[in-house]
Amino acid sequence: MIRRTLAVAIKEFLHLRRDPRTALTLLAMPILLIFIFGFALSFDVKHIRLVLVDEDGTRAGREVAEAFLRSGYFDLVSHERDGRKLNALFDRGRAQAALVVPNGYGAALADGRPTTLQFVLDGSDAQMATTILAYARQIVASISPVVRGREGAVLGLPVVWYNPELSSARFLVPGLVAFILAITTVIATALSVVREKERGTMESLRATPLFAPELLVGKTLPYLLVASGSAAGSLFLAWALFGVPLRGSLFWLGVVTVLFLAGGLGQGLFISTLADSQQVAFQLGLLTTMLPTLLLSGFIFPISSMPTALEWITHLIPARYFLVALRGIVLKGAGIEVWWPQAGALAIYAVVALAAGTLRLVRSL
Amino acid sequence: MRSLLNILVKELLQLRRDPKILPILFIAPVVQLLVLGYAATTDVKRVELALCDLDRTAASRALVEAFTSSGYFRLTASVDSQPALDAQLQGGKARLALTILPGFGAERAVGRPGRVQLLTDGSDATTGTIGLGYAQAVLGSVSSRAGVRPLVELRPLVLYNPDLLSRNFMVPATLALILLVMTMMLTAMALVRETEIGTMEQLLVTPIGPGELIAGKLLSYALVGLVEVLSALPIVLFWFRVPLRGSFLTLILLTLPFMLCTLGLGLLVSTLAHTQQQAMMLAAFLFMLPQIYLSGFAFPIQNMPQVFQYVTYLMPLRYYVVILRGVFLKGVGLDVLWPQALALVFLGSVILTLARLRFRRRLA
Repeated sequence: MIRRTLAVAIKEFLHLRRDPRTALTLLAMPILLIFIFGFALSFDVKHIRLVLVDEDGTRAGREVAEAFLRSGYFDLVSHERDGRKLNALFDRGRAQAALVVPNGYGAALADGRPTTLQFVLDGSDAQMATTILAYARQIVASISPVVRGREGAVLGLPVVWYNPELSSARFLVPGLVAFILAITTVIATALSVVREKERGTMESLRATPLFAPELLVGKTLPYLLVASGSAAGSLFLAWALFGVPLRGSLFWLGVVTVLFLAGGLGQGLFISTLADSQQVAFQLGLLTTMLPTLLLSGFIFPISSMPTALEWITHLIPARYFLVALRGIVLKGAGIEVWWPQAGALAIYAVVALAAGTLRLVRSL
Repeated sequence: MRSLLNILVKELLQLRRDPKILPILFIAPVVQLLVLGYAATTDVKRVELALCDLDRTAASRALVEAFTSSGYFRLTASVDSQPALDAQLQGGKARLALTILPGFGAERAVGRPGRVQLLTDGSDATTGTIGLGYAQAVLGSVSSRAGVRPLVELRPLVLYNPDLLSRNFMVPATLALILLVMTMMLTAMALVRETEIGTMEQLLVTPIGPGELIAGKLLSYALVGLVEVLSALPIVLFWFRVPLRGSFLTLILLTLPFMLCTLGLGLLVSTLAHTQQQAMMLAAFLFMLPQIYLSGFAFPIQNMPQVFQYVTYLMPLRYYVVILRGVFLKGVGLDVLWPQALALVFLGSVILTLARLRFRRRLA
């Protein structure tokens, strides 16, 4: 039994080796994505193109401007005496923000009268604009003299846990691992079965003394190995290149990952029973893994900001649970007492997907 | 000219005959638009907040009240010890934890600043940063209600998108994504299919030249792409209510050079792949994903390291996204967008020439 299963697995490996383009894509894609995500992508905002419009021309005005530049977030692209050219600068995207120091600013400050600074910003990228505005408020608060009130102010002391520099790499890489695993397992499994169907070799396999379970295990085993390998490789790269730590237990990480992978394999088998051609299988695989994992799992976009109906849908996306457990184990060092509901959901997914996939496939055989 | 038209008609007929491709053509863009429009929002609406009031005075209760009534937060738990608060954060039940330290009320009563601690879960950096910003805003308003306020007030003026809706940023760009997926994938698949089935050979022995053949095929998919944009536009304008401030004509005119690039890429992919499976993998992973990430579609280019910033200049999507956002949100025209248009025309010609050369070599 084990020998025959192994024979199928080896045959599948040979197939993978013979199709270097597919194998290369399976291996190169994770590495490419890790590099892009780790090095290139971040929501941290820096080098904001700032225009200074100094109508005042006093020392107080220059001090504000200096405070903005000293913060390290802003690059001065132009220094204007008035705001006439502002519109053109914003339209062309040359400016992202403009600080207007109005006439009389210095005089008002010298007299201790309240005054205002105007801050114009390009709102088309809403998230970036929100961040820029927050920076500007912080800077102005830090240089502004404060009027004393009836009671004391409230000071917030921010402490950031798990990811003190709020680096996007740490936040994104675990999500990326989930993304890569979901795509490779589901699509590769589905394609490997459908290919046999397309070429008619499934019939020949059926004519051999193989049992259906042996065939299924043998066919899925290589992809399980490749996928686990790329998961381990991705996590290793993330640690080596970007210092993403593994704070929790390696054992539980393995358990959760295998649950997620098993579910993915089941899903792939299920898709293979629906599709007659590799093209359809690929599209179904992509549609059920790539888009939901990218958009609806909390990988990049926070689930809490989605409309309620969409939030319900996210409960059906296995990657959502995997991501919570993965981030919990990798970044927070959390134990099973914290993420057992997610692990449970993944176990259900694995059992249901595998059962549905194998049952349908065995029946179709 | 006649043979070009014939190819075009043949190609459209073929599309109509494939019952599985039509739904993909017209339903997929709608689904993409709806999902991206709703899901791809980085506006954090209500941050999950856990709090721990160690002070228990009227002042601390007023602060709690200010947080809960601000509309920025959803209170998930109110605990009375720091370890319990930590557990909330570790379990992912709360993204932000507020601790009001003992002596908060007493300090404030004598005019000294009262201290609170704000713990953020940095593993979700987006929500964390925004949650901290909200919290600081609430603290600021509480301070100013007590008469403590800065002498200098910052008055923001937000251009183009005054309500700061991230949907206005994402939805127009989704049009680019749809075009990229549809025109590039369709072209690549259609061409590889002909090679796979062997009908490419048959087409080439007809008196139609390879140039006309390619032109006819590309033209038919350009047509499909335009129809896709036109059918997605009502959703953008009337469902998501994204303003179209520039001219419709500019939008269509500047879409053409982008399609030149995507069609060229499709042709290029078809010359690199032997099977439809390879064509899809190549198109999706090597030409689509990097473009999505390295074009400023979702992640700002200015934050990337210099090397990656250079790479973005090679991405047609980079220019088209600027065009789309410019026309929709800023209402600018060709006088501002000509550099992007020029870049697209240039990139498109290079890609097409390359693909054309490879195509000829494959035939020889």
